[in-house]
Amino acid sequence: MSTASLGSRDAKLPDELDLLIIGGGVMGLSIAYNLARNHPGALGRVAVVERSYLVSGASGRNGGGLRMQWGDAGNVALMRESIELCRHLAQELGINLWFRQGGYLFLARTESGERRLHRNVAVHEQVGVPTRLLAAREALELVPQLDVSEVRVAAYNPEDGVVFPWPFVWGYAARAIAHGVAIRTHTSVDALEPDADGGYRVTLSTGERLRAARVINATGAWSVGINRGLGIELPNHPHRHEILSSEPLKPFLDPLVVDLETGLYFSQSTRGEIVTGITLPDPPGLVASHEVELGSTLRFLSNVSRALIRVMPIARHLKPLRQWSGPYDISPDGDAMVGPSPDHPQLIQVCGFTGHGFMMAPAVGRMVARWLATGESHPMLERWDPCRFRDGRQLRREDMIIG
Amino acid sequence: MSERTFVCRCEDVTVSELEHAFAAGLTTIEEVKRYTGFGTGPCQGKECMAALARELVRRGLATPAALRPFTARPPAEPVSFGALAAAPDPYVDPLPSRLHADPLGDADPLADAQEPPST
Amino acid sequence: MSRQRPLLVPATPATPERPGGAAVHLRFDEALIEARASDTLATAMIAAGVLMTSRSPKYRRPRGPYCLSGDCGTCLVRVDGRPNVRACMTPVREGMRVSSQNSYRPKQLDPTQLVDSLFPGGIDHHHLMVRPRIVNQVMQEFARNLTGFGELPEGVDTCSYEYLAHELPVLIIGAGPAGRAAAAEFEAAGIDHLIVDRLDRAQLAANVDATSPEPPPHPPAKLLANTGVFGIYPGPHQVFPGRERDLALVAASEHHATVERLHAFRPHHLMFCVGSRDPMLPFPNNDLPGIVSARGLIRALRRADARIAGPCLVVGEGPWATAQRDALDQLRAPHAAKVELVSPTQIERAIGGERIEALICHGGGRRSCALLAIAEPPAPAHELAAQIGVALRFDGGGFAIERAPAPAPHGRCGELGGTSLWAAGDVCVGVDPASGQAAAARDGARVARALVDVLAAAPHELRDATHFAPASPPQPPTLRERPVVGDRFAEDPP
Ligand SMILES: Cc1cc2nc3c(=O)[nH]c(=O)nc-3n(C[C@H](O)[C@H](O)[C@H](O)COP(=O)(O)OP(=O)(O)OC[C@H]3O[C@@H](n4cnc5c(N)ncnc54)[C@H](O)[C@@H]3O)c2cc1C
Ligand code: FES
Repeated sequence: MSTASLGSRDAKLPDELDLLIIGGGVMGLSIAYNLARNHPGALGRVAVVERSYLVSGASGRNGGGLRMQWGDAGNVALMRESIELCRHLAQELGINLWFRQGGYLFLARTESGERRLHRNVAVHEQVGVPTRLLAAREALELVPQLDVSEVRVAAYNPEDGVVFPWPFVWGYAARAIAHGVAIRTHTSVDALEPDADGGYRVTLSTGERLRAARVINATGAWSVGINRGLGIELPNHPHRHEILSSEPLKPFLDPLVVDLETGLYFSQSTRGEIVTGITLPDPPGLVASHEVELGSTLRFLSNVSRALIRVMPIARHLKPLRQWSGPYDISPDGDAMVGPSPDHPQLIQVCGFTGHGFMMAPAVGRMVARWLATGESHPMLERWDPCRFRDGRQLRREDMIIG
Repeated sequence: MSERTFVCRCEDVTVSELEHAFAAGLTTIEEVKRYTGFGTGPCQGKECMAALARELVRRGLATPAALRPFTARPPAEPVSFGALAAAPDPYVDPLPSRLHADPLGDADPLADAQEPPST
Repeated sequence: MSRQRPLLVPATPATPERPGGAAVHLRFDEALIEARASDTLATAMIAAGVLMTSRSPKYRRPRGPYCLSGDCGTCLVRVDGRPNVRACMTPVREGMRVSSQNSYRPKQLDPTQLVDSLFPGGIDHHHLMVRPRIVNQVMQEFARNLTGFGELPEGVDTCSYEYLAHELPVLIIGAGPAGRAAAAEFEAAGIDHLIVDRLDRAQLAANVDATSPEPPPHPPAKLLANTGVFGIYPGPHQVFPGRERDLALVAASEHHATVERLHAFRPHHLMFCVGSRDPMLPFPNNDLPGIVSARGLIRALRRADARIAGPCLVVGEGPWATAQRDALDQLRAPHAAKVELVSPTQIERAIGGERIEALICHGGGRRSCALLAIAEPPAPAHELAAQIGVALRFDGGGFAIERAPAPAPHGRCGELGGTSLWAAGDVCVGVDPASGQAAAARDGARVARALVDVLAAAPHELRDATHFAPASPPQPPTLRERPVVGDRFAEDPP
């Protein structure tokens, strides 16, 4: 890799930008890359400004799971497209992504979970995704270490998979830079002020001042701060999600396994670590904050251990190697917010991706770049309209949110 | 055997791999960790962090005052999922406190700790 | 293998009075090893000349124990069906079945060792064989199989798990010289305290400076050995009456053969006496089995009551390295060659295969050795303190705890919730590990006295607090189910 191919704190930024992307996570960089590669010249000068290093946000802290198994046909189709892109993305970006299609295996232990999986599989069939319902015995064949005594039914799509998130982000960055995008790291956008002509005056933490005709807010869980600075109220909020990886083991686990009843998920990385997390409700009485809080807890360790041992008893003898956390950017209806902001048509939101922004980024980057460059819309963009809350439009509900 | 100089044995990171990261403009310990994988294996940085820090200073890539270790992640010592599963969730099963549990009096909480036979 | 000339020999023959010398038999891969009861698995293997425990994940190079102190993870082996066990922290038992990990047997024919010579210039794993896709997929599958150390556990003895919560006035982490000296002060002042250490009692006893003029101190009365603190967390935000800020939660795991006990300590005062580690020294082929930390080797030899029988060199400079060399030379069997010191600047590279054979020095000199002990200046063990944001400073060796300047009491280094944090010994800026254990012990005692003064001035409910743990540990909590994923919106919204 050449110098500064991962962005740099010295990257030069023009005073006048056609598009400023705030946030060097997978979303911001996927958009930058798709714009520069698929629509060269369409948008003029494009730059990404990242407060810290490139994988410092949720994009550097997630589990790397990619699935088509959603509850809503729109998301299923979107993820089918995203995974199709991922199949060739390593070659396209010229970096190893360690993408492995080992499938996702959902386990249902209650009647309600069972109903859910039946409903999903019907939706998947319509979209053309090969999810199958498995009996407990068949699930056991896939993962012999499972305790399936309580499992009523399982759902399995062999085309779901996992990636190693970091190179994904670097790959987008390096190719975007090669196509002329400026990527400035270790610099934050401190203030946006609307300009008379609809653009924004931008103040950076370095003291630099720029003008940008359009701005994309791709700061994930930090997006609330930027929006509030402009008086934009959107209902997304940050939530700390914890995760851990275990001691490295020889490959034994092909699919990513999800236990519907506890919200536990676990998969095995290329390096052999079991990567696992769980849905953990906020402590009672915790005042919702709009600040991103990271940090780890023993409470997470003990809850995830109990749930993991229940599904895979052999895990009791294994050890975690390290635990960490990252910010979910939670949207109340489970759908992202992508598009012009209420009363700010030149400020584009790309946030609210809760626990699944990584897997959607390849498709979202392509779709948003196309829309920016050509105006061509997409059914998901209508659905993800950030103005839907203000306008009181019927909210759709995606309900296969894990973690 | 090929001649290699290691800074991190767990993840097989050599000095020349560090140089790749330096060349890509990564000169903080946190970034070098993410790019090379150093410090993410079984030792979790206990053996290699100081070696990398010394290397950064020696090459003039960082000043001692500006150096920061990468984020320290628990667990720092081995503990099994089995043992962790025994810990209660404080929000659901509150920890016993002096206020609503029988105090031990003068009993020694260590008394029944099993020690291995002394050798 | 076991017939190779031994690298270590027992210091004294076994006698009824010294049962530590009794023979114990274990199997390592195909070899039968006769060890002494006082051995750890690592010393038993080194003694038998078996230095390689695994192949490395990427270059497939032989690896063996380095730090001999539980830090580096290069000694991981499979023991009685349990993967990734640290050989240097595991006492031997009769009939133990031990195997190497991440390597194919027989070792000499392991085809994966070719990786090392096929990529002399190194492997850039980000850009290796990315195209075409088919090659990429084969490479990924290959890589997946070469990484990962242990196989899943099999036929493992059942182990029971316990949980114990404590609230106590003072918790000391680390029973080295600083921690022991502090514990002695608290003992004398009648302050209820506990001192925990991840090492077992034999290892702790071996950690006493034999060259120190002072007599070896007694083990602390309130010592919990085999107990590794793995995490320090802000206490849960539960407000107990009369206490606004909750105490820190110090989580530790106490390991025994069939019991693992999880401790959750809530100390009013927490002291870091965690000492320092032995970092590696970069030089070509510095990863060969047989290259070990000097301090780790000294402690391991004392613990196992063993002596060096093979050729051993020490690498390092200055008084620290000289002291390590002297200590190792005292731990040499009478017939063995003198332990000599080599300066790092002299080294061109190490040579060997499954174990180190020699150092090649600049100018062509060759120094044969079977053990190469690295005596680099130690680096403070900053990890636990770093978990909770204690101020650290790079002091040239590693990251050390920066304590609050006067007028703060000597040793204070911050607070976490209602818990005051203190630090003493090698882990602190300004305490030079090279000046020996006496300096750390003096510092430990001084910090403890400062803490005693603070306690004396505290309101009596804090001053007179005693160690408290519930009479009966709670039953393991049940697993609570939450609404099914997917049920969140299953019914019509209100
Ligand atoms: C523990 C965990 C596990 C997850 N598992 C999965 C999974 O398995 N599959 C999946 O698809 N998704 C998963 N996710 C979700 C996924 O990681 C996120 O949805 C996705 O990474 C969001 O990407 P982003 O680019 O929008 O945000 P981020 O990656 O958070 O990027 C936002 C960036 O903006 C920067 N920034 C913030 N403020 C400013 C400012 N003022 N100026 C400049 N820059 C700023 C931040 O530093 C950050 O780098 C998980 C998330 C977590 C936390
Ligand atoms: S951990 Fe055992 S030798 Fe380092």
